[in-house]
Amino acid sequence: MIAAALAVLETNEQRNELSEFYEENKNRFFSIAFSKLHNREDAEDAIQEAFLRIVKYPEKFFAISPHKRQPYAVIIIRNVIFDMLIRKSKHNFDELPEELPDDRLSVENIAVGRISAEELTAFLEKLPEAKLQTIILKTVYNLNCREIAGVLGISEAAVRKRISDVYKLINDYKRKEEK
Amino acid sequence: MSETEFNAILEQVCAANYYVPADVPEHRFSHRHNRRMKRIFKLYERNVRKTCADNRPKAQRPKRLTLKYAVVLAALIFLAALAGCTVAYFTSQDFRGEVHKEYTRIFPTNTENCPTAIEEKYYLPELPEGFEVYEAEQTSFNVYISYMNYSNRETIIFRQFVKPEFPTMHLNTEQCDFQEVD
Repeated sequence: MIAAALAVLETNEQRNELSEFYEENKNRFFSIAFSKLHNREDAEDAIQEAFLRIVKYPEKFFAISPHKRQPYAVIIIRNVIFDMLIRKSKHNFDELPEELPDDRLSVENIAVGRISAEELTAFLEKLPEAKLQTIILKTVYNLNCREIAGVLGISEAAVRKRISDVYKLINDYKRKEEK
Repeated sequence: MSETEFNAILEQVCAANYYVPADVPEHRFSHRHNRRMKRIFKLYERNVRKTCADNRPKAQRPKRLTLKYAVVLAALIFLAALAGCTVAYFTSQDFRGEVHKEYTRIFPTNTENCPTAIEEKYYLPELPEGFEVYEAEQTSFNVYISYMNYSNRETIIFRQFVKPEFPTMHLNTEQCDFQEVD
């Protein structure tokens, strides 16, 4: 019983941190959602859905340093907005591959070594947002494929395909630049 | 390019694309939204508790949590000591006992090769003044005699058992001594 009481004390501190984060940034989140959805209720729903995805993996949220939490939440909100727009337009953009790509691919396994920082930055700016979000969640926020699937609302297979596609696109981009 | 450099560039791109400045208009959120956000925080609390229970190894427990546990444990021990929850134990050749604050429990030991029926009956050789026989019962393995002083209602009880049939006894020793005689 004591352990439960002490656990509640600790979770209350952490819960305060999450609600404080929300209170500090809620207007920012609303402005992002409203600018895309043009509907107040939909924008509020998008924020709720985004926070539901954040609280799925509370330990991940608190492992992120405070200055990186806002971009993390914005990535998830923009993904939720994208899903809502897709549902409204009734288009489905997710295609499952027949073979699951290897998600253990890392930078060293691919010929990224020959790309320069300027080339990589230019490449990333042209990358489709869905793929950019996935690669950022994997490398900057250290989420695994299951967690990325959870916060983006897609399948694990789709996550692995996006990551694999990014590395292949980097290789293709480099080959094109060399020509 | 190393993985560190790759990650650093991604961080810069992330900050450039997903950072939102603070100068945005203030929005008045609906009651429905505020209610739902409260529920989300409660769900979050449950998930954190679950994650803490599953993952936290004892070695990584924060120091302040260890201190809290130590304080609570010390308080419990102190309260138990105040309540007088202490037990002493004794053993002799033929018996062992638990001495509690208000009573003593007696258990026979070394019961192998003991007679199963009383072979010789014993009686008190002398009685204090005023005491007379009050009750008497006997079986093959048990003798019970009680003596009473009718003027002050004090009693003396004399019991004889064979060891294998000796029952575990709770004797009232709250305000009196308990002595084993050979």
